[in-house]
Amino acid sequence: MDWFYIIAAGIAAAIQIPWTVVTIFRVRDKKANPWALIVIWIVVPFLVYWLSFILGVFIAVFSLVWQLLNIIYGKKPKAGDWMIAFICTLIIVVCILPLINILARSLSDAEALMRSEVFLWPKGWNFDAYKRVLSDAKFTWALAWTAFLTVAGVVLSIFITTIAAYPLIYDNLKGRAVINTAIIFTMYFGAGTIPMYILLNDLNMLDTWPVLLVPYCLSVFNMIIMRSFFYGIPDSLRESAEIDGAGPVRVLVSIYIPLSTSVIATLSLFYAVGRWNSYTDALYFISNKTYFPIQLLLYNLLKSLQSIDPAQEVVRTPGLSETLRMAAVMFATVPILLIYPWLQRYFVAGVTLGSEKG
Amino acid sequence: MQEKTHSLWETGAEDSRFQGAPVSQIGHRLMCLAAFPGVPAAALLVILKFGGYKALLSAIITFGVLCFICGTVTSALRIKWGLGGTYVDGVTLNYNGGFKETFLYLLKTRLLSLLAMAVIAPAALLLLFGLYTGTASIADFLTEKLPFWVGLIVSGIFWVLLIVIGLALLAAIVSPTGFASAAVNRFVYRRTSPAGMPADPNKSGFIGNFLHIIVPRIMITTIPVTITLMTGLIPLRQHSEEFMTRYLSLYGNGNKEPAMKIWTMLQNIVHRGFSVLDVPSDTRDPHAYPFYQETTTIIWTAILLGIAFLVLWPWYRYRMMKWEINNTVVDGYQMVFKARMNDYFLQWFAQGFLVIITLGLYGALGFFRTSMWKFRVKHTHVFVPASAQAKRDSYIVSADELNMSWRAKLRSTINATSRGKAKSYFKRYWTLYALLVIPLVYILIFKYIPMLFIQIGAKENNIVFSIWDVPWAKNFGFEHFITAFDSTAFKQALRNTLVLNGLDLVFGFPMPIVLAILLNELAFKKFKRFSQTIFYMPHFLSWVIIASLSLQLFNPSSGLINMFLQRLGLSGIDPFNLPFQWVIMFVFLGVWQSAGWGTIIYLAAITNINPELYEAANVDGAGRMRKIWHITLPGLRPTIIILLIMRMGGIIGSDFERPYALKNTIISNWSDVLSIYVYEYGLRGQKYSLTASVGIFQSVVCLIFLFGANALAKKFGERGVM
Repeated sequence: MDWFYIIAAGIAAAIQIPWTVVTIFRVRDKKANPWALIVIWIVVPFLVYWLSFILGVFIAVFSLVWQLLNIIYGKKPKAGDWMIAFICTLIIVVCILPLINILARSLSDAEALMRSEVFLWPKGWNFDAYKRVLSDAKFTWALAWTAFLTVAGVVLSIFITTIAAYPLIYDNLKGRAVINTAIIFTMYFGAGTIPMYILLNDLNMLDTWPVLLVPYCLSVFNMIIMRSFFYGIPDSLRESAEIDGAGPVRVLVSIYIPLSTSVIATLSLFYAVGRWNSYTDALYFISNKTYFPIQLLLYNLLKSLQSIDPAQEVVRTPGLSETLRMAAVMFATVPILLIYPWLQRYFVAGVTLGSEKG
Repeated sequence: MQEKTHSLWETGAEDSRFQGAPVSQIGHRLMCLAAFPGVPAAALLVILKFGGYKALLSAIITFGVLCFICGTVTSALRIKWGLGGTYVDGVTLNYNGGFKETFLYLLKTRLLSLLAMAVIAPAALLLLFGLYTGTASIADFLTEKLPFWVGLIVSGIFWVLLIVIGLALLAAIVSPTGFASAAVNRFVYRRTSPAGMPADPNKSGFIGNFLHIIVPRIMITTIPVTITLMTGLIPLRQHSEEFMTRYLSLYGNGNKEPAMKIWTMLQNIVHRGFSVLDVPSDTRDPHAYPFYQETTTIIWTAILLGIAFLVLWPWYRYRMMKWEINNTVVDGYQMVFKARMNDYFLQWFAQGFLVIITLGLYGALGFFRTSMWKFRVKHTHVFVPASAQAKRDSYIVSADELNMSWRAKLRSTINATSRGKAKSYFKRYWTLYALLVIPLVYILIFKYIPMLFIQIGAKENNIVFSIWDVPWAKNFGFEHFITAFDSTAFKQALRNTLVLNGLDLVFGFPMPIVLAILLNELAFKKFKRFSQTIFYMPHFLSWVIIASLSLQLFNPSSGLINMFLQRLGLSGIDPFNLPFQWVIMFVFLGVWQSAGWGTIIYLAAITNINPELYEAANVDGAGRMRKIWHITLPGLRPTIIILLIMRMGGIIGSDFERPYALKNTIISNWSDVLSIYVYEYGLRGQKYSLTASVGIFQSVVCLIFLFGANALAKKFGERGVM
């Protein structure tokens, strides 16, 4: 019965603690009565304990009946499996429903959207929004520019990650511990935004496009993943190559890189996703709109639409902005959603490696 | 005869161990606590329905009786189970008491102590009653029949008695077992024995027990109460003034001067000490009477109560534990408690802090007690007489073998082999250094040089001149810290960061574990792979996209969720305009985005669990929940700890993209976290120094949390991150 009590306590705490925190603030702002705290700590445990107890009794009775039925009909009890599958299905629905809804909205008629009729299937099929988005020069430029940034960034990052990770697998590299510590320390302690801004200002890099590639091109965590993968390649390969007269660089190029395509693919995905999805660095360091990546463009679109008052919205084509935005969102999302399932096996292994050594 | 403290295998803590799982402890505690919420709720209902003293009284009595019985059951179980799960120096302790006997004994002693209390209580109540209501008649009597000074002395004694006995009464209420614990300890140790042999009783006598167990208990209960009274939760002053005015006015003839002088002096003390919710507002001069200000009073009360419960309490527990164990003889062997006070404190705070933030209060208490038991047993050793030493020496492993670590062996081997190759080393491996040049230069420029620029946080706000030429800020460079901590915006940002990260921790941290276990239990393999793919999907969406999605989904008129709610006939939600709903949405979206991705690590850890364990469990007929609880979760424990440490490191750090994409001006009071503060005040408002100092604060707190959590984990024998 222990787990039952623990779950009950966990549920009680999960409700009580946030509720208490919120209530304390509300009491401070004179929006709630202090007695609410007492209610939280008496009524909530009461409800949770006794309701969960009743629920527990119900479950116990149900499972007893179920097992009896199974004994009668001679099957093994598999109710749990179906229940878990059911829960997973629910979670899948929660994950995927928003995207389907967005897709349906982007393909719908603007007026149907305004009548809030669109649920999971588009009403009044048309591709106008996509056409309009694609005919918008700023948007297409941002797409192409971000694609370039992503490809260039991935190449640069993978290069620098590889040459940082590879020497560190040599046990007898002098000063390895120092270099290792110096690199890993930066993972735990960063200077922060302002010093970085000052540095880029001193380097005259502000508002130039390399600022989107260079400052964050090496992720120490990814470096550790790659290093762990390199560790996994047997030393005997390296030693036999060295006996044949190959130097370290030769070994890297002709043994390690061919063997670690999977981890390179994974890290490319990580870097690409990071570059494609990030808008912070552009927001911080770039003011020239030509260099805005797609996410920042979308962000500005989002904010400008949020601040428009409804009256003005009516003057413009009602609901059209929404379909447009949804179409833009699809453009910014779909490339990565198309890629990641194919790399799933690799990135799972990559994350696991990183967690083991990190 | 020479005697020395001794551990059997000379490996220290290894052989004093505690083998019970926390589960029983929690179960027993919760069984008791389960009675708790129901009874007062029922009492409340009765009072609301019928009202009046009788209902209140009956509620209190029912509550008291139930808590008393449940508490006694729990104590008996805990003693039995706690001592039964204990190894000291290779010797199993046995508890021979039996549940029934222990329960009855505890019940008996506790009832006796309650009876003793019942004798004191009426007297104290009478006194209190007399002083608060019958003051006038007593005073009349005193002033008419007796001379002035006698009256003053007698009333002074009354006051002392009021305080002392009132507090003693409170002590008795707060700690009904106080008087019984000495007896209980003797009983417990008399029934404890290694390997089932009858044990020698606890050596300590009644007086020693009284001094070491009862006195600290009274202190721990009375000191906070005294402090609370002194700082003013009870408006005593009014009563005392009334009392004295009446007293003095009745005492018509004779010289009032000396009495007035003394009384004014006393009153001054009382004024300053006893605070005063009923002082007229014009006399609240904070300089003359610092305790007059209500906020000051509350703060002082909180501080002093905090000291009492955070310092005095562990101090008393430590003292008591040490006394108990040092006075225990089991089968002729003396037990020794070797823990230092500061270790105990560390354990106390660490455990309390960790469990309270990770679990609810109810589970936390159980875990807390378990860890305290572990601590107690870890530091308990057996004091072995020299005569017994020889018998045990035959078991002892060669100390050289134990002391030489495998690292040392490995290092000596490596040194021996690598020395010969040293000459051709650089010739062979210079290319490695050449490869490292680019990354190291990168790291130096973009990671370490900014660290030099951190100094702007302590300098005047200036970005035009070189940072080295800018003068230092006022207040020894702490000017900007002071400004930040004075500003509402920063405090708000700090609060929001803590609240949002805390909620993320509470809800976002356990979700991947639950999901991973669910996925692991999923019997249909293809479906499992499919769900994994879908679960990972939200991780690949950027926060701008998610913000767009949620703006659409939560739209009050046309959003999917509100459409759904409307069809169910429920009222709609509007999280982008209501702060509370926004916070919930923020946390939910965080869970939605990262829970699936987080399962990768846990799933990998699950695959590393030895499958034989599951097979054995199957043979034993364990159900799904049992397997999860006893195999999967313990297998995930190191991973959970490491990820929790990393999370702790980030408790004050703040992501920028998520809140910045989701925020808007309406709820910005709740969404502006530290990173947004840095962006808006620093980069946009050009207050570089101010925000750089905020950044320093953030980084340092992060480091402290990280190292602290890491050290804690190591302290509890877990593998840390460093």
